[in-house]
Amino acid sequence: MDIDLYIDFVYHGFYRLDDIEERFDEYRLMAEEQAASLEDDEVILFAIYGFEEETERFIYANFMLRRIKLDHYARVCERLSERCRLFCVGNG
Amino acid sequence: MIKNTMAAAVAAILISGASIAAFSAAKIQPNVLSETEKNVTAESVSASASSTSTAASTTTATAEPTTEPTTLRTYHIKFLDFDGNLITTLAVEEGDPINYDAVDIKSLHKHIDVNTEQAFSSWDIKPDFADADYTVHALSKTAVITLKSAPTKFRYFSTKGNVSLKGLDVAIKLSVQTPQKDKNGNYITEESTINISESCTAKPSALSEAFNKSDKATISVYPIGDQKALCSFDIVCYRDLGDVNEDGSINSADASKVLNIYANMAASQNMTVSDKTMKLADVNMDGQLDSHDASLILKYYAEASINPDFVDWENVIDFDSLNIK
Repeated sequence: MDIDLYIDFVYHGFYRLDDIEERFDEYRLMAEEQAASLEDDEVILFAIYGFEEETERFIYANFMLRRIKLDHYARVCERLSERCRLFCVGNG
Repeated sequence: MIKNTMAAAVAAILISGASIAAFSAAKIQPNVLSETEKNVTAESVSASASSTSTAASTTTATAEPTTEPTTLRTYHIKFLDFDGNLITTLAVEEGDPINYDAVDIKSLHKHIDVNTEQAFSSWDIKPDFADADYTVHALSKTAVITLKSAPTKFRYFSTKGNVSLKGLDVAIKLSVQTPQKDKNGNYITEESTINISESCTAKPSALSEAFNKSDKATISVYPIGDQKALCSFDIVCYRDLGDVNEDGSINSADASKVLNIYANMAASQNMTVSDKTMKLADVNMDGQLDSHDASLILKYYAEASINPDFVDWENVIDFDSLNIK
């Protein structure tokens, strides 16, 4: 199964699921390293997985390191949750 | 891993619900709950990250109803075409998904020239949601169709079967822009070439249709699914060549008849042969009816006896080396 990969919203091509998972671990570690400097009301959004609405098929992964306010994150979760899964870390 | 990842995803969504609920509560009683809410949600979010390596419930997450945050910024997402001209600007509230379907990309499809077509390929960046003003450029894919060589078979000896496109060489060169830029600031393109010779079609395709009015016809070649002809070429039918006795098959009886006519012609100065007989019997098309033709008919017969499929005269005679008038 090939999946579209975006890094910081920029398209990088088709990748195998194994590669996506490796990239996921990479970004999670980087996010965790940076999390110590976060304020209480901030999180680092490091991955968005996109799914097809009808079939729930995994269609793209977007990796990033976005430091965002919690309320912003909540809003993004709310608005994207129908077709996306979001991954973030806080400093807790 | 993906199982864990999905579990984490579910956890993250659940967290978002918790966050949202917390925000709702905070808005109702900001003085009492705001700090608590922050701590709870921050811890929850942190927990969502750590849950990536642990099993989690399979509960399907749904977003809870929430009160809108008090101050929401509106971001502007500009969409530019291949030449940098503005297609449209979307105003999107902070955190809202960007609706790419609202951008008209069909208008980007165009024919640059007869053999070149350009269309939308992708966006150079594709933010899922609005967290800043963005300028998004459309990237193109350009297809150039190239005819390297036309079909080479133009002699036919029967009206059975279809027009052959043997020798046809057509390729589509596809150039797709990638989001990466070169040192001059131009998008780097990835190029590939696809040979589509096999999928091209001839019109008319049946020899019976092509030669239904005449022994000459013009055939047009189309890429599959295209209404515009790539090229056209002329074909000619040497109908029933070698079937001198017109019995529907080419065999030793035809060779024998050729030899008989040849012998009669040699014996008599006044011996005449009808145009039709000449056309059927003069298989090497040298304008003479002689033992060479009889020999070639026998050769054809020998090959046809071995090969149950139709034997093309071009497998027996090299017509290209003959000076056919």
